[in-house]
Amino acid sequence: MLAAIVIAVIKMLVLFAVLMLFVAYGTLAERKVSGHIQDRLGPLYCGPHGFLQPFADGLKLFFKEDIVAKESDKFLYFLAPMIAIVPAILAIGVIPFGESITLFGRKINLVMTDINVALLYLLAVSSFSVYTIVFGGWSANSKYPLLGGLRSAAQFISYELILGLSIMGVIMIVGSFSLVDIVHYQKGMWMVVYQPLAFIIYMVAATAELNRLPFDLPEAESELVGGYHTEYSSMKFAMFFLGEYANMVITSAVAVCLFLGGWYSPVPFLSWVPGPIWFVVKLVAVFFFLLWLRWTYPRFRYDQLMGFSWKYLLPLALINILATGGVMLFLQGGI
Amino acid sequence: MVINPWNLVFLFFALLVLLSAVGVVAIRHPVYSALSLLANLCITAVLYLVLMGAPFIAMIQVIVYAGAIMVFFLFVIMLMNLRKGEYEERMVPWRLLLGVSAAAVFAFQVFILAGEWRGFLPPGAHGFGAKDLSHLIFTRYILAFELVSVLIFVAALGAVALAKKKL
Repeated sequence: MLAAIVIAVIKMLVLFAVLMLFVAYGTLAERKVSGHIQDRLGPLYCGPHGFLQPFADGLKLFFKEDIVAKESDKFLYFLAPMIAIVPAILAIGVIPFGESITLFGRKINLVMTDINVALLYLLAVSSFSVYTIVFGGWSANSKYPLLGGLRSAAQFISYELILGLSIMGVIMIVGSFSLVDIVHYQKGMWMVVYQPLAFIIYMVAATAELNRLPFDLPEAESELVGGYHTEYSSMKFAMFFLGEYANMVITSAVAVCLFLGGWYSPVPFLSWVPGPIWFVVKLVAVFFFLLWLRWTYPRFRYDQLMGFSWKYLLPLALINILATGGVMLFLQGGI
Repeated sequence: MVINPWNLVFLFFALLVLLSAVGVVAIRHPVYSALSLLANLCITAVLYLVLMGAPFIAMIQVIVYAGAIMVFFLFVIMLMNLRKGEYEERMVPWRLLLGVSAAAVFAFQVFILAGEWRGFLPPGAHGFGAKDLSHLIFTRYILAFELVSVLIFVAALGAVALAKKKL
């Protein structure tokens, strides 16, 4: 009993530390990638190739003046940055990153907890990240954040639906909501081969859920100054970004688990490489893809964004579900 | 009465449900009232999850109500952007009376449910999953289920017809 608790606590601490590390270096990666895409070098002076830049940024944000908007609704104004990172931290609890290992004669599963509704749990906790933006936008009592918050509420609901429908095909094939089961199913072949359309829809919807270009309407700089976090400063402002990058890490991890074979190696002769390393490699690849996308495409117009969701993605996702069901019926030999 | 630790857990969460439900009607500020409703929905999901062993329904409750419907509520409230004073006169005694009586009815229901539920749940039991639910929906209750879906469809059509003057 005690040993189990100790193991759980250690796992929690390690996962949290790794997530924070990814978040810190995610910000550096963003600046480096954007720099190289725009033919610049990006951060260069803090440590070799700007390697210590995240720490410098963190210190700077801590020591900046903390301005509280005067006419703001104080409770929600403080609550919004506090809960920014909560959905991501809740979500790491169900993401598996390796086969169970034996350490000191004890079997340790490389996942915090393997619940049988893991995928639904992920959708449920990720649906809470909209409240950060909505509260942050409303409580400051200022027009630009409010517009950002409203846009975000509409955008989230639309793309949440698409996200849920896109992973339906995977659930139908595997027959389980457990992420561990889903990864085990992909031992021979990645899910993206069976569900290419679902993968594309998932990535589009996930980009929209993360408020990243080309779907970053809630914080469109050219129209809304800064969007929902215009009235925030110092560490409160940074908390929104911690949450955003943590959500990016989680989204990439879920994409790896659902479509890219989780911790399994893509080719048999490399299977001696430990699972968690494969997992991280794939996660970084998806993360890089998100960065690449942001610095390549221009922003959608708001009505285009909603139209794209309801007129194209929704029917495509439904067709994908119907087609998956049809093929499964055919393979089982009819009804 | 046998003191079952699960009873205490149930009582604790039921109390929270009641408190947040009273909060919905008693709090004047529309945004905080909506927040209270959000808390209520989430705690109800906890009840489903922990005490009824129905994780699927609990998760759907959070996804649909907390994740989508409450966002719409807040959307509308924020769009109206009520100032102080605009909502304070709305609070009249009969509203409070209605709220308290509704809460009392709810408390009574919870009380009855607790009586039926006692000893019903063996902790760590099989539980009620997605497969059980879909099996029931698509066999025994297929007619009711389809009728409900038609009802929702009609409601959606009605909403569109009301919102759009010119179709």
